[in-house]
Amino acid sequence: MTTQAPVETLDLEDIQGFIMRTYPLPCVRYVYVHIDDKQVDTVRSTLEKLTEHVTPSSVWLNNAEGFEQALNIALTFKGLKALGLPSSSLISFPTAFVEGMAKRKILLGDEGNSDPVKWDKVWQDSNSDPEKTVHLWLAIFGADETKRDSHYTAITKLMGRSSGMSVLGFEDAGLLKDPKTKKYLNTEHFGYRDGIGDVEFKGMPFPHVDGHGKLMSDGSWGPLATGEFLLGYPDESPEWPVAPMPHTLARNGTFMAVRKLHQNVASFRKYLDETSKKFPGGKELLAAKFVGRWRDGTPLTLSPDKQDSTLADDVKRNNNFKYKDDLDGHRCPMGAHIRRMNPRDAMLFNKLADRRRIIRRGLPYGVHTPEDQPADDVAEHGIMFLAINASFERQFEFVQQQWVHYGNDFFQGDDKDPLLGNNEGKGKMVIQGDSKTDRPPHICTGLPSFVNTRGGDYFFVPSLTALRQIALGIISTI
Amino acid sequence: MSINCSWLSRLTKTINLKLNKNGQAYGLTVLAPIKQGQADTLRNTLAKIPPVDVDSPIANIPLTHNARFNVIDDLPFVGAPALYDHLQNQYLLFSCAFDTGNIGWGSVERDLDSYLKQMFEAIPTEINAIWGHCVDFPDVLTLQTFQDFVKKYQISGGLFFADYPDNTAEEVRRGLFEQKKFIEFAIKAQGIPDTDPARLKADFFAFHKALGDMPTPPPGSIV
Repeated sequence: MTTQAPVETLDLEDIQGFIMRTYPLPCVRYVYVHIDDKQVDTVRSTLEKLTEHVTPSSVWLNNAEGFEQALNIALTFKGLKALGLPSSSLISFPTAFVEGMAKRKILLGDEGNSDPVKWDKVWQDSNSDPEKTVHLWLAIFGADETKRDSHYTAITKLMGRSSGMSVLGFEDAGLLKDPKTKKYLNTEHFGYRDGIGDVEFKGMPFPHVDGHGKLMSDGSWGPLATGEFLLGYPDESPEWPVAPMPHTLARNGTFMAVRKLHQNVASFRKYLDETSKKFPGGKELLAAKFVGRWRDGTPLTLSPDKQDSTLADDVKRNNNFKYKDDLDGHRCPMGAHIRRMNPRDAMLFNKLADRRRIIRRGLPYGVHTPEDQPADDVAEHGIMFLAINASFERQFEFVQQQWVHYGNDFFQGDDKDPLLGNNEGKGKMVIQGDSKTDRPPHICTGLPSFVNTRGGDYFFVPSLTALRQIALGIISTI
Repeated sequence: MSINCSWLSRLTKTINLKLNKNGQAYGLTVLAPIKQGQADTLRNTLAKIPPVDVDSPIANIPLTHNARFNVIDDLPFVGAPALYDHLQNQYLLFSCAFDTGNIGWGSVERDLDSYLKQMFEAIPTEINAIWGHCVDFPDVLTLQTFQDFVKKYQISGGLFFADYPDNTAEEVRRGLFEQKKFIEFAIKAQGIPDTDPARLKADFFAFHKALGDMPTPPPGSIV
């Protein structure tokens, strides 16, 4: 007898913790590690030691209280190869992962100033020099910089001279700070509140909140299928997601795109200042129309005329909206960033959106430049962006190709995402008018690329079980 | 093992030309058997033809909305158990949608003749290089022998869906072009203050007049 898949009960000890939610740890160091494939036994033993420190999802059972440091790790395809996975397992990985991010550049829109030949040196080297390939990605988190640094010191001690591993470089990121008060801010470099639109899937150790999962046929909200984000569970189709062999290697693991997204802060501010002179609603409304939220996080769909800090702060409401009363985009424009990233019920079939969701993690890097200070495009400003999904091809790459760099699904022709699109000075966005108030539509033109890709790759995020089996060298498909 | 596909041959044997029209658009489907051993050369010839844009030879046949050539090796059923409905030949499929400029079935024969005439006059070299690999291709290519050859291997579309049943390819191209130009006008018109509706009206009429004089982009161009 067969039954419908039950509500998943997840083995939280086995799943890496950062998949579930952003840790309440504001500082992180992303570390890029090379593995010497001539010392497979040594490297495996180092990986075993590292695995002992990996933070599992069970930290969420007490809401990560008293939690001050964390470590998570992921591997590129070349990393799995260097660790000696058998060919029979390696060939079972999906093509996109095997190729890596740089080879997918046309599909991802990484051209012009985002081209891999212009990426940071660590990523350029990784793509060209076999001695400097990024094999392993570590994320070392701390409750403050000191705690992060001490954890980094402890962890890198395990990767010393005779470990077979060497650190190629690292990148610090974390919540931005107000330079005067030294207090943490909840915004990214363009001034938008960040980290609102989290995903809810079956089996997560959190109470249900409307607006984060998927829309059900009766109009209520339910969690997405676990298999959209973790391998080894049914997905929304509902099928088992394509996963590498053997099952124990894949189960409770997932895939992650790491992207260093540089933000051209001066270009953004200049464009906003100049264009808003001609835009009837003014600067803040224009900024809101780009994204679909006011800069404090208030959704335009719920509050089209003003910011509402009570609404923006209320986690039960700030993501709980639909586009059914805004299908013509008079509140949230049809080409706005959040509507492209998660169209909810804005398209003909909600189901289409359910198959294209990604978990978004990552933190800003660089020093915050307040609005009243002069900014430039050169300074290190950006987001270390992490996109977690079961399938790069179906989820991250589809969103990047069809929804960030094309507009047909939203009736926006070939307009790109105003914020993330590789617009290169030729971008266009239509801000729909309102027939009820006679507000005319407004067309923004000459959009530059506010964001450029500076590096990154595709990673496999194994379960704790899989990490240990890789470390023991017992992955076998036979 | 072979699956029973007799229903398929019943469907395709008698050509019901009425099934080939959707609005004014005609869906032409030709399945011509490839001469023994020539499929790989044919594939190589097809691979070297520029597939899109004004460089495509198909762009020289302005009645065309879209067209494709496919080499069909066999009819496998991908599943368990693996099945084949073996073809006696490899086939060259030509599938295209073209404009007839008229609605109704009275003229289906003439519709096809006109299209093949335009094709024959535009790309005789390509016709030879491609269909020359097929059985029964005429030794001496004339309009008549070409039309006879195509009709011999034509099959009914059965379920023909046209993206644009009511508009010709030229009208579609013109429409996209005018839409693009109108967006450019709308962007410029944003600079006209609300208090000056007369200027907006005058600018629009000027734009409209100028648009009428602008040529439509050539066939095959991506607007």
